[in-house]
Amino acid sequence: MRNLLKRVMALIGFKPVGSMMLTATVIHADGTTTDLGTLAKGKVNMRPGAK
Amino acid sequence: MANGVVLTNNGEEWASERLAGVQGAGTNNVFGNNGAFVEHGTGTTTPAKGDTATQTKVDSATSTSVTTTGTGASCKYQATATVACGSTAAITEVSLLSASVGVLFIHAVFTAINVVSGDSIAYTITIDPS
Repeated sequence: MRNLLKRVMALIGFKPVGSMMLTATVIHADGTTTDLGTLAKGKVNMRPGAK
Repeated sequence: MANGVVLTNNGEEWASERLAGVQGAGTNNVFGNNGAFVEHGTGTTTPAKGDTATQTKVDSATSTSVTTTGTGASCKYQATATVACGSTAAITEVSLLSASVGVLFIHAVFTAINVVSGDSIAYTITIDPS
């Protein structure tokens, strides 16, 4: 289904869609860690002329 | 402010030139660069395509590991770096650049991470082409 959607989007002029993701873990001064998981997500060129 | 991560305009030029393996018409001369510099800061403005620098830089990583993960449809670009925090701060942004004071490829803004001197933050920045 996802591939079909991408094909349709390509046909109507949308650029290929990629994605970016940022994850992080805090390493505290005492050596313990805190996993913060995903901090942010983004698409690459979701729309024509997205710049 | 809104959280987000963007491949900047310069980042698009970088990615395209890396794929083509040639220096294009752009003036950044980064096609041979793998994006091996990470720094973070306290800027809170929503990241935008036209960004060219970290808003308010605080610390930077001493080294960044750049590799790919997965194969075929799951293959991704991945940069990992640990940034040591030199002071108490509310960290809200991280950037992937070509070098210190280099070309900004990826800029992310997120909910504040409160750190003190001696803490570190290990970042993983992933680009999934599909």
